[in-house]
Amino acid sequence: MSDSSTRRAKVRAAVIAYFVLFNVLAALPTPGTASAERLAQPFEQAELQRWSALLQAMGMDIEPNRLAESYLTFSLAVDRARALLLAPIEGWMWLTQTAQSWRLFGTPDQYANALTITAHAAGQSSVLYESRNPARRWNAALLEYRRIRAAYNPTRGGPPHTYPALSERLSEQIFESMPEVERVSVAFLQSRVALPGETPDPARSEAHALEFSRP
Amino acid sequence: MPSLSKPGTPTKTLIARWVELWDERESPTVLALVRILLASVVLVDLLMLGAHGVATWLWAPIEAGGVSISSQGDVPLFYRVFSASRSSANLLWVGLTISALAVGLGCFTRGAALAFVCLSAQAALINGPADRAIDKAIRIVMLILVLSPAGQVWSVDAKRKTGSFRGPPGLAPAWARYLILGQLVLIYSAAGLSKGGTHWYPWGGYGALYLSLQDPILAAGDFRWLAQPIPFFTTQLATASTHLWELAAPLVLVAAYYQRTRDRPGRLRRLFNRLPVRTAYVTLGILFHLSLAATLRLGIFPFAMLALFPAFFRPDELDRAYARARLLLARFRWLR
Repeated sequence: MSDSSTRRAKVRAAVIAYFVLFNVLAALPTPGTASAERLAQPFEQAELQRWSALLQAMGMDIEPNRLAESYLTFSLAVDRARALLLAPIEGWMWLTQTAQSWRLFGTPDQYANALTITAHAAGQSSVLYESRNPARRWNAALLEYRRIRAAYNPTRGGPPHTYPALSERLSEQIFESMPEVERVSVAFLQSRVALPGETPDPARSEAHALEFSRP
Repeated sequence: MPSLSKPGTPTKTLIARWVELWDERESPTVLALVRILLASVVLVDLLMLGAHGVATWLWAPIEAGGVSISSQGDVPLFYRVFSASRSSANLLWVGLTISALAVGLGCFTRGAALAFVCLSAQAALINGPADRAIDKAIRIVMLILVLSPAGQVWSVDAKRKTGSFRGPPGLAPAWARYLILGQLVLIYSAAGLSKGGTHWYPWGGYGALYLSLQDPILAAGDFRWLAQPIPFFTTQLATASTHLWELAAPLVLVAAYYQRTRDRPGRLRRLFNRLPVRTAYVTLGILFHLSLAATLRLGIFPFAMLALFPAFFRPDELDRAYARARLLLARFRWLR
């Protein structure tokens, strides 16, 4: 092996070591974006109850409220340490949008949302689209295309910032293709999914409702 | 390959072994296969986007018919270079599509892969919510391909250089495949470690998969029937298996290490070398991704991940598998 190829091999190995180290650090799990408001939500409260019960069964006497406080302190400390550790590669990750965060279905929710799009005309309402309803499939291929779905699919913190404008674009499409429609409303039907053995909760509530009138 | 350790040194230092590892060579066919498969998946996704005609919704500024809000001080570079208009959003789509096509064809592969990463990163900055985890994974792999010899074979670049699409039969640096393999292991193990919801664990009743399948927006069908005892038990089993499969990803690297050092002693090494650890992991992974594709609306996620799976294997292993498949196919022809 010539001197120059040995040198090249060493430089390559050093660059790879740098990126491997920081990418592995970046991929380490984090406690997520914790906040007191978020931990006060029903699903998070139920999760705290379950973790607290587990810890109590293991002999650690910790109440859910105390656990929430410790969790907040811990996640804040982890966030600070993570930001410090990843400082050398932060610019690169932002520029290339390649942050290593892989929370794939990390915390499945017991509160389910179905998107509904309703057209109102002459005092009558007609649901054009409802998630998972085979009878209400207006523009389903578009609404279920992954990038469009991501523009409305809510997390526990609510729908993304793209939801109002997307709803407006959808209402414009409806007004254009259905001249009789006077108003369009877009909303989520929320329900609680009962696990087998739990008492089913038939209640469904409307959330994040938006209404658009024909211009 | 010559040793990089000093003459007379009885054992190589860890650093010397690290340098040697990343200087290894193999045929670039696996990288070419990953390049073609991944670009094909990306291309299908972009063509779907084009067919729906929503490039402007996704990537135009909100004043020009888009859906994403960005503050004045936060304007992405793309909209500093091009005008903030509908036609620029369409231009972004055209750029992404052409660069993905060029990567797939192996036409100016390195430049095309770099252009794709730059444009895709801008798309992510313009509309964050529409940029999913899989888009990030695609950018990471494309960045690796930028510096790799993935365009040396089965490509227009090969045709230009050698007169044949197949390209030269020689060896090329193997580090890019190792990095893609490492990235796969990192994604799965990080996903496994990040599962903080109790429903992934026995004390949460292993209800994670059942809950995901009840999400009206994500589920590909009506899975309420899974509440019956036997189907629910199956989802519990699948939840536990999925989580364990993700957490077990580093075992693939352990198996590879033991395979390379098979002459050394050790019971665990012997056990790993006797068991088909990697084949079992890959088989379960294929089943896992195909099940996801059939039951949840995850877009290109399962297919883009599967497009990276050839990186689990050395080129000579894929060559042998291909030869065996051809032999099998020939037998079927004889039967007909």
